[in-house]
Amino acid sequence: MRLETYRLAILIAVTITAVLLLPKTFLRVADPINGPMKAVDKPPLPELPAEVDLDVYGVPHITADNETELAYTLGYVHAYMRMFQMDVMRRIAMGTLSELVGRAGLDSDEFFRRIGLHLAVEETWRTIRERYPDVAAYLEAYARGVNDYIASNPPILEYLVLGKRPEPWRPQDSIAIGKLMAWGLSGGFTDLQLARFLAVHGAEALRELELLERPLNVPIVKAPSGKLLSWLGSVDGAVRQAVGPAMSNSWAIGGSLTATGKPVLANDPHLTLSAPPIWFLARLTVPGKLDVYGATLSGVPLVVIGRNARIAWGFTNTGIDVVDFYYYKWDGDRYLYRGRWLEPSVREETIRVCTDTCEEVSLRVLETVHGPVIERGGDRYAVRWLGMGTTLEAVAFYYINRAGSLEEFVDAMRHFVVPSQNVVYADVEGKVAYFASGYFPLRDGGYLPFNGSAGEGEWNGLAWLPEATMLVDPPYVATANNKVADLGRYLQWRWADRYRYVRIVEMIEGAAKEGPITLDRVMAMQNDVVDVSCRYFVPMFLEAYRRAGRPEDVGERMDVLRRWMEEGCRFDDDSREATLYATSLLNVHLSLWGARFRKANITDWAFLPLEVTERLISRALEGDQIAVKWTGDPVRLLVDAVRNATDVRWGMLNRYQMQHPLGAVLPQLNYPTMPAPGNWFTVNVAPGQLTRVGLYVTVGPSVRIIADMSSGRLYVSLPGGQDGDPLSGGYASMLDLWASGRYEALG
Amino acid sequence: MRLWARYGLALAITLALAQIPVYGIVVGPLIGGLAYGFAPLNKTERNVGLTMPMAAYGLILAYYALVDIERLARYLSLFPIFVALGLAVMLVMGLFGLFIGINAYGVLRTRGRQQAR
Repeated sequence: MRLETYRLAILIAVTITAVLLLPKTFLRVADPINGPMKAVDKPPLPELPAEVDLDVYGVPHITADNETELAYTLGYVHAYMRMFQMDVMRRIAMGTLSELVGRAGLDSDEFFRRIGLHLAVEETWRTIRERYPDVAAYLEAYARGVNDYIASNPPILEYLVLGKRPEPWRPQDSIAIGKLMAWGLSGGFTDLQLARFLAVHGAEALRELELLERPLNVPIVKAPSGKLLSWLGSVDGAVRQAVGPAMSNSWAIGGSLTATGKPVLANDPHLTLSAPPIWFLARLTVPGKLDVYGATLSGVPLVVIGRNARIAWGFTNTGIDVVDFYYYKWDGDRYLYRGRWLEPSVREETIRVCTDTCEEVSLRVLETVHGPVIERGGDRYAVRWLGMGTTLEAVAFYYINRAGSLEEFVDAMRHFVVPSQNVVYADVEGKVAYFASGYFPLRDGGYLPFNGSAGEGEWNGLAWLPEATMLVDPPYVATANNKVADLGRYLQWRWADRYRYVRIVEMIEGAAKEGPITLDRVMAMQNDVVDVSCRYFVPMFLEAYRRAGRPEDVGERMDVLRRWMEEGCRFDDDSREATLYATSLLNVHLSLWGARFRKANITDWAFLPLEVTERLISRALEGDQIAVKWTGDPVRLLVDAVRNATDVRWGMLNRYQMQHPLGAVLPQLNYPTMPAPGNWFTVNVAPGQLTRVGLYVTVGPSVRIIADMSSGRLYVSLPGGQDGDPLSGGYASMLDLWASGRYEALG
Repeated sequence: MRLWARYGLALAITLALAQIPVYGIVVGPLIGGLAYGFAPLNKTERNVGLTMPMAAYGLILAYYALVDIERLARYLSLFPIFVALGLAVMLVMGLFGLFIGINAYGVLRTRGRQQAR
């Protein structure tokens, strides 16, 4: 063979080898025609059955002739702007995330399949179809809208990167997203963490640290309506038959205190800050029948927080305990229950894991009489959560959106099972109300795992919480995830420190003393960055300094803290004093609990609230020997904490990190990091998570809403943009508005 | 064949074949380069051939700019690495095609001469 032929053969061989060696993902992202660049060629929103007006921030004002067209159009618009986000949410809930993102989603899928959220979704949908045909038709019309968008084969950036396409939408998927939210707000494993903490540090810790009482906290409802005895009879029949780190602020101020003479309602749910945001703002109108506006969840055609022409409502999480864990004596796969060995039922699950090709992973789930079995720390527990089985929150929101009075609103809330929420309500007639929503499983205890073999912790019915917690027409009402009420029985052991609540109440009462409360004042309250915890801790730092003999090396720092407290304890992003205080607090917290949490294998560094620390140190300074057993020398603890603190500008340390679901591999999709004013305990909350390089704020006001019942206006801001398409000009359209504490007016 | 006609044909082949899912970005410039190179070329013509894959990428960018220049600008600012990868793959594959074409032409010409003798 001649030289030229050899050269040709070698060239062809090299070419073929190069092509075969290039990974498909590499070729896909590089491809300007079939790859992510194709997303540049996104067609505009087409003509839809209902009229869609997008305002300057991309908020759709949808006006339809009927509810079917309304739901269809909202489905199309949601999908047009947030298809990837809604797909990810439904897939997490249904345990099919691995089909989209490969092995990265497998742990999540295994967990949710094991818990059986998908089964609860299907059961809920069957109930809605049978008993609430209007709601079912509405969800089906919405799904048609989403599917028509999918059928148009849109070029969506994230799918083009992954080499996937969205699967058709089903009405169940909307329910799944609601279930996922419910699990996020009321599920979790803190009971197991508490059990580990007590196992390692002694059962007496529960009493010594006053974990169940938390005497410093302030309940929302000071004088419960005393209907405990009627609880068992109060369960809504339909629901009882069917029912198988989140923080927030809300308040409603009655007309007697406002400048307009009508109520003002404010709400800012503290959820994960993501790109795009969890919420999607919309106004939905069917003239003469419906006019509702506020925050929807992408994938759900209902306004979750907002208002209509007559009423407004807002939610914060109560933290009421509706999840239990049961341990058993096991013999292989058999378990002992009330003296009998029982075979658990077995559920086989198959999870598809897809990258360029798909593989199937099998999962064998055991279920006891209490629920599905999970493994934690080498132990097996059955999980029982109120959200397993049919729950009708979708029905509740369908009717809430259409309610015109407190009676209709409360009636709608009878369908709302889980997660229990602090509900604030206001209407154009001037009425203001509060209640804790949802149902509560009646049982003895609930904060620690039950001995399932001994028959402990059986649920003896459900109580409807509003009956015991309803407040109507107080001058104002405020909630900040603090204790709901002292009802004389166990409701919860996890609730937020009182600091935000104390500050909200102080601001409302202070403003009322100065005159009628204006909307500007309410907006300022929502963006307030004063941390009142300093009023309790700084005096303790100063007292410790005095008792330590005023050591010179911390004298200046103590002066700085004292002056800063006297000036109001503000956590502005340029404050160095705020950093000094915050890092002193962190030093106290980590010195007290860091090693103890690690020993108990607790990774959540904020597992115990600051109030517990505050109370413990206060007792130790007073000479309480039980407290000293925990704190060691409190004087040294406090002085060392200040000595080892830092004082860089707060905004350099505490920074927002808002991630896209693919942000770990494509950080360009995340919103830019920026200074986060406020801290864990300010009304404008910015709870930094400890990392090696600073405090990452990944949770915060996920939407801010203020409803003015005198004007029909709803003032809103979103931590990001309406449009979830990273190539859209609206991807972060409201981020500056939100970060600077300003609002857009809807309505 | 005239240079512009050969160049145009190579671009058209590249863009048409680049539509193939996943392997389009490889096959398009490869065949386009091959088509361009499979003909007698002087040195200047060879150098012109080197620009063919970049011209193809440029045409694609021009199309997107025409469709929505703002979205294209955001894409370029978000994913310059994807663009660089795309250009690199097309360039390498185009060159492979070109060299294979030139060599194949050389081999066939030699065989033709041998048969003629």
